[in-house]
Amino acid sequence: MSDPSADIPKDLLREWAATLKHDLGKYVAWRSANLDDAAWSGALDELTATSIRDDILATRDVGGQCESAWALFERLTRPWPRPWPAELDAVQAAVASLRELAAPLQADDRTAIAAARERIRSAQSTIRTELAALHRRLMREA
Amino acid sequence: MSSILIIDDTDKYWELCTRFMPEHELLPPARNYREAAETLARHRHVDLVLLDVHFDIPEADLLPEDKQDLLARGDRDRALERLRRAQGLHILDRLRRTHPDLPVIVMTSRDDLPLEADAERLNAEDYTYLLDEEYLDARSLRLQVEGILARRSGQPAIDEPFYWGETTRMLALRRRLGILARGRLPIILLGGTGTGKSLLAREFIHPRSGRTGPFVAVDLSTIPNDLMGAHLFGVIKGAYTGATASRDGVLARAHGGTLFLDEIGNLSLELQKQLLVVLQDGRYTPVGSVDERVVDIKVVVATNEHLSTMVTAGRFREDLYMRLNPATAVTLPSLRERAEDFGALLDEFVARVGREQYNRDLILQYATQRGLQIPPAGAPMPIAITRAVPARLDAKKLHFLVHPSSFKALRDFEWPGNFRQLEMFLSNLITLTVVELVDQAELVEPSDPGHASRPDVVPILPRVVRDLLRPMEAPRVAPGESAHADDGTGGVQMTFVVRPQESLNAVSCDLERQYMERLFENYSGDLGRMAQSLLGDAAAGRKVQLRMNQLGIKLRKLKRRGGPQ
Repeated sequence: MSDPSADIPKDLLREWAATLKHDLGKYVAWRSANLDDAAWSGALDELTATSIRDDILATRDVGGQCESAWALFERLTRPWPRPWPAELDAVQAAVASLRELAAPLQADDRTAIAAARERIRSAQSTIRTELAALHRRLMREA
Repeated sequence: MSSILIIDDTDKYWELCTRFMPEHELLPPARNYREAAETLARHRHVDLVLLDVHFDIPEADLLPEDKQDLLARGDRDRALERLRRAQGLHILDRLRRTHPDLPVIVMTSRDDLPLEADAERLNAEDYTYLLDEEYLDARSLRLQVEGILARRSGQPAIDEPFYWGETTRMLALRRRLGILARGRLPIILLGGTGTGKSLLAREFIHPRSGRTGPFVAVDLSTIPNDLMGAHLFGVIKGAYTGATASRDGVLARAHGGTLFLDEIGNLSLELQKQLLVVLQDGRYTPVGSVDERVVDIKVVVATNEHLSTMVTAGRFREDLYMRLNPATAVTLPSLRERAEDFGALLDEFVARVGREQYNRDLILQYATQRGLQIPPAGAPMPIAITRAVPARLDAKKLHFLVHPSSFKALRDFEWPGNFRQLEMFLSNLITLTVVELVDQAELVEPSDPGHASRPDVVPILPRVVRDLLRPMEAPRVAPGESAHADDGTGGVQMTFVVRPQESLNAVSCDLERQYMERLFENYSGDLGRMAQSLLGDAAAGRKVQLRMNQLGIKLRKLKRRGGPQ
């Protein structure tokens, strides 16, 4: 099967990847990534709950316009030709996993958020790692 | 507590820093370049800037201000998006014009820089830092901030050998030189004698080069042509008559460091070829040897000649010239070109000569005699040049009062020897003025009785300034008017005009200058032979050159007038 992205100029692909990495990869765990390890187990404190909610529900917050991680992912991957590279598949799965938690996050359901902390952390980590890998690969191929 | 300015279009960095660096004062975030410039103008003591790269801000706030041409090319939306995603780098460029020394952490890692960013240049810049981490880790950022602030506080207020001043032109020059210093390419320094080329190479470029080896300087105008090869590349025992032992040249000594070749135009064509090999391959062969040696050096060359003209005339190899990286040659302005900040330059150099041991002792002696406040042991008395008597007595500082006409005379003077000559002039001025005051207490009072009781103000009489400047003016007697003495001694006979009321110092300097020029002609510009004749030491050519510089003699002019080719 031919590479569907072959017709897209390489520098454009790199720009798209850089944008994804910056807008989604950087901010999906902006505050969460700086929490202490202790925040991810035991009682859920206010800072942890707020950080997780803000990072996922308002991943991009420009001029009062908030975009959730999944809204951002959808918008930024829209021009990308299918099928996606493997890295984007992994990111898509991680984003979907976060989206399943949309209701408790929006409702600020602390019990549900506390229970889903490890899953959230893992999804955030996957998004960051895979987007960094995608960007690095495209830069290397330049 | 340090003041940190965050330049970011959102509050994300500010919130994180507030949480992780509560010990610092975080100024309200600036949302674009204009706000940043305003904040920096208001808060003079910002210690550090954290600068985001991506700015989602209105088009009108984006740099560059004049971007219509840029946007007209191709897809306008995409061009705007690119501008936004690299806006921080535009802001950095603009900030550097006014704040070359301000530490700025660009909040991105090297891997995340926009495609069009010049990563090498950013890495080479002084005081510009990128994040080590791919994604922001606030604890790492805090460590990075603490490290930068600690290094900053450990630096003395004045850590530069060269007076850069605050004009835009000089700040840009400093920044450019700082960037070139860290690169691996050679640097060409251009500029007249006394403009500070060798000082900059030694005390500005070398320390910034990141090299751990030594700084080695060679003035090629003082080395006889036949010894230059051995001096540069080293020699093997028996290579020629007189080579009684093998010895390393300056290249070997400079390995791992910086080699400064002053007056590069004096290098013979044959040696130019060998230097080219060094620059191309990092290899050379000592005189008389068949074995190549490897060397790793940063090469800085200086000249006050036009190398491109020398290339055209066939006196300098074009391939070497191109290899020396002429596109980035840095021209140091002459003192005459620094009229804009001449007053500040005077202050800087007066303070500098006031720290010289002899002047320092004299000034302290005067301060003691006049009941001024003596600084703590070892510290020099602060001094300054002023054009008006300060309103209040300042017992901690000595003010040298120059008449406006004297200031004008100094500012408008030719200064062929540039900063070196100015420094020597001011040193003489301070010494002669203070010596008289110390020796003859009755002369302490200024001529204006209104200021008679001000021990902190020392007037400098216009006559003293005139007398010291006069010997440095262009010669009044053409060299053609001097001739060999006909008494059979081989001496030189010179015609000389002494004007009424001319000081002895002025007369002797004038005489000395003419004599030096005459010798220069007689010895075809060979400074070694001049040194042999004057000092009995052929190796003291540098001393002779320095003295000629001090007397305001322009070697280049002399050479053009019929000196060596």
